[in-house]
Amino acid sequence: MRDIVEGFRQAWGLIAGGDAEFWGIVLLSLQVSGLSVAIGAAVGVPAGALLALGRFRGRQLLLNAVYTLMGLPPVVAGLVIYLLFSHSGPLGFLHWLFTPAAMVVAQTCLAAPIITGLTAVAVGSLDDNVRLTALGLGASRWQVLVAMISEARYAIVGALVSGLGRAMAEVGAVMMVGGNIRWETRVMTTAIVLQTGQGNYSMAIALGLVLLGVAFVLNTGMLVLQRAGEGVRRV
Amino acid sequence: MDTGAVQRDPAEAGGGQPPLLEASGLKMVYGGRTVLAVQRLAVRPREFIAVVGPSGAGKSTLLRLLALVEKPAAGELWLFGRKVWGGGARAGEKELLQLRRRLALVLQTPVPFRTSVWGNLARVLGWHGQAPGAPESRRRIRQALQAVGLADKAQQAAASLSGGEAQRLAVARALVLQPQLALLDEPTANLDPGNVALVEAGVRSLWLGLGRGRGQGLDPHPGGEQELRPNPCGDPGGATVIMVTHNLFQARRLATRVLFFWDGQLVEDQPVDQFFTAARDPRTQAFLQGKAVF
Repeated sequence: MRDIVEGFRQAWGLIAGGDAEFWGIVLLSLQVSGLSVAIGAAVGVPAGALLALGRFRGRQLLLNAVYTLMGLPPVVAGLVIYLLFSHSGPLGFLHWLFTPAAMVVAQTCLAAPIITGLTAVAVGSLDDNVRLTALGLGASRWQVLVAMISEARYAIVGALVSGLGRAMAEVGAVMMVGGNIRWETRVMTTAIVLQTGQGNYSMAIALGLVLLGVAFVLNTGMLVLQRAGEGVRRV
Repeated sequence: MDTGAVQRDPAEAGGGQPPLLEASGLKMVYGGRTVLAVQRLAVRPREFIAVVGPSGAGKSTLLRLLALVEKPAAGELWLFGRKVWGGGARAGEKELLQLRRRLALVLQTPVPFRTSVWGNLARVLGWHGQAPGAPESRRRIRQALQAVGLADKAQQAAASLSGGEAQRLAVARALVLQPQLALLDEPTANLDPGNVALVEAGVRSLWLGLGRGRGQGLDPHPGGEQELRPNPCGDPGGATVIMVTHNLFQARRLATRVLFFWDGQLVEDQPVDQFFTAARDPRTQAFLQGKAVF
């Protein structure tokens, strides 16, 4: 118990004291996860909407694949990315292995299926009258797609939050492709694993608290955004 | 299946103008069952057509086909002088879009978009390539909202509207587009008399041209049928209206011509007065007398 209390005390010192390594880890985590979710959203939201609305051959198979990938084990994703970017791999010439770029790729592979799948569910569960109304008022197919995404936006925000949660909480894949290199590819989750293993609880607790805090702030921000969206547009 | 028994070719209301819409052998099949089979239908500009008949008669299906949001199983359809379906031909996606932008469909269940009342109208104008903030767009939005009595709720979230207000918003969205053809699916179903009057005001504005329908629609005791007829000067802004309704009084109040559907077939097609006084088909007569068994 004393260790835990002492750990929290020292953790507060790290957070408040502006420890360079500690805040570097936090910043890199936010950058990697944020970029992963941004890429995942740019691909996943339109792809999810297309999967929900499209009537093309292989659609159901694609949906099944996306739903399967939503549960992709991070270490499997890590292994695949590792092999792709390893020296002898097909993308080895990029020299991304053990860099934040490979970590972004890994986290995108984990977050994008979640964003895609949940967007497909959100758009697909909209009343078909939304689509018919838009078509019947002269919307093009793309305008219908945008309108459907807009109508499902609160559920899609939830999909983004889920994707971000998956990315930020992930440890296996980024450990494998990032290497947990101090000052370079060490993020909050990998640092917590390392520090706990070394018995350095204060750093682990401090990072854990920040991780929780970031999740809380992001989720609150999303909720505020949703509430604001329910308001009215200025005339 | 018998493809319908259209008893006459009315369309006198259009005064010999070329048809705005022509359909022949139009057929729709759902799950192997033919739900609509129209042998022939021609609609001329500026007609106000009420489509009546029991539930499941194919009325809503007809509207969706005419709105080009569904494709028929068979048959030929000409709209605005252009062939849409038929004879192996099918309009391309671009042409379909151009045609759909000349009409407006209002569904029985209104779907307010998740934005303000004003934003709903601005969005549909945006789909038509018109800048929502442009003075002309703003004028049209204001007029459309006034026509259905929603001007004071312009800034309100559309999701917070009542059922009647949402239906008025749906009519306003059609109105702001100033379509050539308005297709309305039971726009006053389940509404209270006050909202019925306001929706009808909007519908009249569609027919007569934006800014012309409100006064009449708000009058709870219309002075006579004469004031319900289209502007004799022929307001170019007015639309041809095809409205599905279960309210025969409403059909008589608003329409110039009535189509009666039974089991997917068009069995009666008459100018409004003849429809109510001299229906020919025994099924129509039974329906009008409340003796039809569905």
